Amino acid sequence: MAVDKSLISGSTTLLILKLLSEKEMYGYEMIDTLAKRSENVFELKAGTLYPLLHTLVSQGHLTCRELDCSGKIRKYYRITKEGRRFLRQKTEEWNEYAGAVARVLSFGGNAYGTV
Amino acid sequence: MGLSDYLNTLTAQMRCKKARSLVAEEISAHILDQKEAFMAGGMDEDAALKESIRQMGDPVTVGMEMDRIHRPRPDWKFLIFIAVFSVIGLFLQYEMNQLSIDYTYVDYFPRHCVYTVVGLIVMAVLYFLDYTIVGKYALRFWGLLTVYFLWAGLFAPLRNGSHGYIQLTLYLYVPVFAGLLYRYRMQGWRGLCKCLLLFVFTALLGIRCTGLYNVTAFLSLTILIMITAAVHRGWFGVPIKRTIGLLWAAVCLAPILFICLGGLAAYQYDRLMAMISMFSGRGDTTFNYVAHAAQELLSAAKPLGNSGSSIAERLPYIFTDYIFTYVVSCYGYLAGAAVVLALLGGVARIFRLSSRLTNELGWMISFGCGCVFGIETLHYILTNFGILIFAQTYLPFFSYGLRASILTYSFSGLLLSIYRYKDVVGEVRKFPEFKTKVRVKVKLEVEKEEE
Repeated sequence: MAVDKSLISGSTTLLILKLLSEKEMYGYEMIDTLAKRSENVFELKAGTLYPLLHTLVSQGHLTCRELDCSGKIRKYYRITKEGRRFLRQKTEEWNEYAGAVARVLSFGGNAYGTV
Repeated sequence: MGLSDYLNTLTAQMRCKKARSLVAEEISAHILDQKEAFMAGGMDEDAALKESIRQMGDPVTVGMEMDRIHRPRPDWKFLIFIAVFSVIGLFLQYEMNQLSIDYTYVDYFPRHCVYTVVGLIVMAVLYFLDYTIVGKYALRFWGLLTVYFLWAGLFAPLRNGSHGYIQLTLYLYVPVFAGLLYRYRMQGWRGLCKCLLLFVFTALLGIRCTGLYNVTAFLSLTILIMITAAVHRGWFGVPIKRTIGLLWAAVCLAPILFICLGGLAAYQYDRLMAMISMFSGRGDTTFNYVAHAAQELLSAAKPLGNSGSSIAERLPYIFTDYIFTYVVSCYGYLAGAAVVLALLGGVARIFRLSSRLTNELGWMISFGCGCVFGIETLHYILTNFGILIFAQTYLPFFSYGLRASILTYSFSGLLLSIYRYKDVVGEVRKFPEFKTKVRVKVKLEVEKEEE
């Protein structure tokens, strides 16, 4: 199902931080994992991902290091303690927002349904 | 559009040239990974590359975003911290000068102002200079400092029988050692041994040329902590726990052996005994007169305001060694606690910012400077409380003297330069060709994927 891009862009930071809270990853791996887990709903462009990753590193939410992986040098990103705190805060915000949207939608449905 | 055209267009949007290679390498690696994935899915090489570049997005937009992120940014908080502490330092020096001029007969304050200006000029030069030259020319800087100390040891005039007045300059070895550790990382045991040999030579030179032990001891402690941090971070690829254990066992044994083999002169032995007598509570008040005087002044202090004690009459060199006692005695112990907490807060911030740095050299220099400020602040406070009795102490931003000023502001300049270029310098933490736990873990994951 095609999803409005503006819905995805607002939650990209949250999704990336969530992925990195599980294990450290390199850029391509993040895009691939996100696409697989969301059954291709979240097809994040690399041109969006890298500026976001670099911003999060600059803000101290992520750190990065280079690792030799089967002869290829890859830049791995890892979430910091500050990043985990930020993720918890963003998750709470998202849950509040998603709950509010769900309540409004279900309220509308019930109202019309009971008339 | 080919890969090189894409990368050229993207990096051309970035005004900061130093950051370009950092971004180009990563984007290029991503495009090649994506191309391989497409080829594995059955595409031919040309089509795979074109599609990978297309999926990357508009190079101008990506480049503009990267330009916004990767540009030099001053650390305003640290700049304000330096400004505030410099002003407080000048104010305290003025007040102490007024108080002690009747005893010293010398007006030190104009000189202190000149030293502060010299320090600020050094800071400004280092701030705008690219700090990575410390890594690039580490061995040359080490050679220059060593020649200076050899010259000073042989030809500089003696004061009170030693060259103790130059000993604070020894701390300039700290950023140089950060550069040396950085230079010899990835060289395994060979690199670590080179660093240890240079360290031993530097420590012996410090004792020989200054004729005093205290700064050399704290410099050695700082460099050993830096070597430990480098080993712990996997810079040399040697077994971490075993190497750190061996290193610190040798560090603990060396002074014991030195004393047992008669390395201390009779007067040095007496000093050591005096220090031990302070700890055991059987202190002879004539033997430790200064320490006891400082303790009495501190215990007579009020929470806020002047205790009325005649500090300038009772303590020597308050403008270098007993500034904390002066603050507590004249402004109250709450004021003294505020100054110490603010300084230690500044040190904690240096360590916090260091941990965020992705550039390895910047991290090591910042870590080393933080260690010096932290160790010297604690040492200063303990000396003022009479717990340590080393002569010639130094409180960053407050102590009088040209060398104290140059040390404070050169480290501040280096730290400001590191934080300014933190999003710019194109180098991240690398792991050498050896089996760290992380690398083995990554290898295992790759092998699993391949299966």
